[in-house]
Amino acid sequence: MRFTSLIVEDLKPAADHLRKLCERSGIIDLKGHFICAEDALDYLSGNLVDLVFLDVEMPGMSGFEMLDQLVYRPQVILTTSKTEYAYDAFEYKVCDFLKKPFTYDRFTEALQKVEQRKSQSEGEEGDQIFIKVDGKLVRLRYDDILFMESMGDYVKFVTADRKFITHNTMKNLETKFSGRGFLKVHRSYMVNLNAIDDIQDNTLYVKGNQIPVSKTNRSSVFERINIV
Amino acid sequence: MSHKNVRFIFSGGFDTEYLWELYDNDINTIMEMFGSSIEAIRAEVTNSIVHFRDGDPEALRRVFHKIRPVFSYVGLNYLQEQVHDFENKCSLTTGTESLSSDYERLVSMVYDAMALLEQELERMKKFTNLKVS
Repeated sequence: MRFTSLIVEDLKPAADHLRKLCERSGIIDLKGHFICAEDALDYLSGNLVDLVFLDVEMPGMSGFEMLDQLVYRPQVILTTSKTEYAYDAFEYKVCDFLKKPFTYDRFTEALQKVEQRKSQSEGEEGDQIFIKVDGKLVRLRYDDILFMESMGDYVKFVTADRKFITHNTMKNLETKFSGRGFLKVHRSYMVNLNAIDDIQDNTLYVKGNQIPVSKTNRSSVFERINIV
Repeated sequence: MSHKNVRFIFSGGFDTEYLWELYDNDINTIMEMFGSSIEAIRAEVTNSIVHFRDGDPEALRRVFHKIRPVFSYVGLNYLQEQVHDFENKCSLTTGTESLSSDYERLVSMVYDAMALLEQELERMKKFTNLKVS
């Protein structure tokens, strides 16, 4: 298992040491190093990573304050010189707490905990997804998405009150959404089956929106909906 | 006589076993960490001078709070306590005048530590060159 990661650490020797341990592990794909939480938060608002090595005391925002403001929660390993933060670390449900400086053995032990947690969370059925819109990651609940419309290299996500356009293709999204109650009804449309109000001929009506059903997808639509 | 299996011996003052354990017996990593730590300490001491002159004990405390853990990366852990004491003194005052003698003593101690680190780094460089040759 490999992890995309970020180091948030203002102390240069600590960051250098951590970077070396990451390289040595062979399973960390380091995406960056930030010396303050504000810059890291800015990066994380537009990019997903699996794991963050996070210092607590930094100039400006603390590591915990950064966690409070994250849109999504990557796995976190706290790295700090003070054991006093252990209780807070527990409260924030971080994966592990490393007191600086730490050995390679202790570091790999922490990575094993991350692996375990990641396997667990992948096994669990999440009810939300993040999409990148205008450089920011926006959280959407699967239930809130009415349908998606392909627009070439972009896809429009439509909810009851908002529309989001993200750089992606319908083909990429098909696998991710097909097991979530969504069905491709046309080469340009995937619809949340629970959101369909009615069907007339080759058109689906979803909360005031008309969605065309292609001939090739028509039979699969009728197979998936309950008709009595 | 072969030097290949000879281990570098740190000068007194350094926690030798701790350093070998922390860096998995890798002298090249130790040298890199010494270099990185000297750089970090030098930068922070320079900052401390500005804060001391500005009469800002809180900024001064933050600088030494940042210097303190660096000593643990280079096996000079015993110095951390003295830095910590100074941090506490900074927290208890509103100006830097009353800290004057403590500050001078501490900065002198930090400079000594930096000199020791630089000396040790040079010794390690010589040692590794000797091993290679």
